[in-house]
Parts: sequence; structure tokens; C-alpha cells
Amino acid sequence: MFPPLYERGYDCIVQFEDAAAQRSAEAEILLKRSRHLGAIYLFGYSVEMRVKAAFFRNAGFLAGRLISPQDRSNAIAMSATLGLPVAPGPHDIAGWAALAVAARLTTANPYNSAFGNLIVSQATSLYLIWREVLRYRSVPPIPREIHAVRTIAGWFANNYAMIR
Amino acid sequence: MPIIRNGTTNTNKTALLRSRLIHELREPAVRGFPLVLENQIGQTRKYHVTIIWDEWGDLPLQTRSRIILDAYEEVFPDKTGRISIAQGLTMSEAISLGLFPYKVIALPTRVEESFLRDRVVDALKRRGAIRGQYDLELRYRTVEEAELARAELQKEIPGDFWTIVQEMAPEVWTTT
Repeated sequence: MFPPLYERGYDCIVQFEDAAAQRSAEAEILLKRSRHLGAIYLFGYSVEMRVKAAFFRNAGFLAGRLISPQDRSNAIAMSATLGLPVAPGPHDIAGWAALAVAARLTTANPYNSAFGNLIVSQATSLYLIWREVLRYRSVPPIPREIHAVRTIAGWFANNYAMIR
Repeated sequence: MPIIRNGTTNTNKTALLRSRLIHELREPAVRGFPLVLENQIGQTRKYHVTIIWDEWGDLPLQTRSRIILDAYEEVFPDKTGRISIAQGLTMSEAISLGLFPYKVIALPTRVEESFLRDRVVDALKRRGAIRGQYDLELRYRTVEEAELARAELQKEIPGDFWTIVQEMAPEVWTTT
């Protein structure tokens, strides 16, 4: 007998990265069918998964290690030490991107300044459009928003090898 | 024929903001904008700089970041290469990202009952109030700053209408 679907798999870097690729592919399918809001919703999650996976990699987590709710709380609690002006919420893509960049600075292999800034700029640009509450909405996004979200999600996918 | 340039190609605006920001960093105003938030990242001697300024307008975030880095290099050469995250945000963007969660407002019905609306509006505007979802509001990063502002307003115009509200991010009340 299968356990419930939501209990299959567990939160870890590898799952986040696989989920990001899947959500992104699903978003492209929705986009082709002119399901723009749904596409934006999934593109946003794909970026969220990537910045969180990057943060936990930068914080020294092994790819298959369970990421518990306590680990997430600890990460958020690190935000003040890591110089963030505000602690990120659970889906705050901009905040998690800044956390990922700041955490990488504490390692032997920090991003160069321009790339770190680009990661945060891209994530913040997305988070000024995307929120998880979009799932409750039925409003049509404007073409500029669709284009921006897709471009940013593509940027994270294409550059993920350097971000991770 | 008018030429309308977007934020990326408007080099004049970029140069103008850069020189204005240099001036503002050299002679910071006690109140108002740009508001510079500078935080050290752990023990790294690197900094996260956020500059809140409505002058950013529609410039892309990446361009704003470049302007901040250039201005810092000019004004604070000792910090060159030590700004790891440079973010320029307008006030509304900063509010949207949760940087100013505390607001001081005057409860509208009580203000109407007190017949002091004009004075209240004037006091809020003088302190840089912005138009919020329902009425004018002052925004602050910490509850202490908000308390101080509320106390000042209470002293200027005594009444039971001044109050502090903490805005919660939508995700806090909609999901885990």
C-alpha cells in the first residue's frame, strides 16, 4: 500500500532541484496553452526551489540530507547574521536568494560580486511580480509580467550550474 | 517626435542618479530619502547595502545595483570590492518586500469625530506619509521607530486616534 502522495519523497536538495526542473517544464506547457497565470505560478516555484537548494548547498548540506522545518527556521534565523535587512518569509524568493549569496560568502568559494548581485536582482525582480497567493487568483497577467517571469526562470535554469 | 527610452538604455538618467547618490552619500540628510541600510555579512567584512529611494523609478534592479556600487566606490573607496549585495528599491517595492512592516496611522472614524482631520493629514504629510491601502500612513522598519513617531504625533495633536499596525506578509496568514 502506498503512503499518501504528499508523504512520498522528502525535502532535500536533490528533490528541490528535480522539482524545479519539473515545475519549469510544466510551466512551459501551460504557457503554450495560454494558461499564463498558472505558468507564472509554476515558474515562480521553480525559482524558489533553485534559490533554496542553492542556499542549503552553500550552507554545507549534503544533496540527499533531509531538510527539516527546524533547518528552515535556522536558516531564516541566520538572516540577521548574514546581513539581510529583514528575515525572509517561507516563500520570499528575494530573501532566500540574498541568504544564498550571503551564505556562499562564508565559504572558500564565494560568488564574485557581480554574479551575486545578479542573482539577488533577478530573484527580487521576480518576487516583485510573483507571490504564492497567485494560486487563489484568476486575474490575467500582462504580457510584460509573463515575459519577465519566464525570462528570469530561464536565467536561473541556465545558470544553475554556477549558482549551486 | 518624443523619444521614450526605457530604463535600460537611459544612460542620462543613470549618470544623473549616480551623481545624485554620490552627493547624498557624502552629505547624508538626517531625515528622508535616500535611506541607506548597510549591514555587515557575518564575519566576512563584506556588506549588504540596500538603498530605498523613489528616484529609482523604473530602472531595472541590475542597473540600480551598478549605480550603488559605482557611487560607493567613489565615496567610500575603502569599501570597494566589499559590497556583496547592492540593492536599490523604491519605497513601494521595499514595503512589498516587507522592509517596512510597521505603520503609524490615524484611525479614520476617530479622526472624523475629533474634527481634526486637516491637522492630522498635515502632520502625517510633513513626516513623509504615503498613501496606503485605506489612508495616509507612515512606515517604519522597527516597532521602536514607529513608537517614537506615534509619540511625536500624539504630542503634536493629542487624541486617541494614533495607532501602530504591524503588516503581516500574505504568506504568513495564507500558508505555511
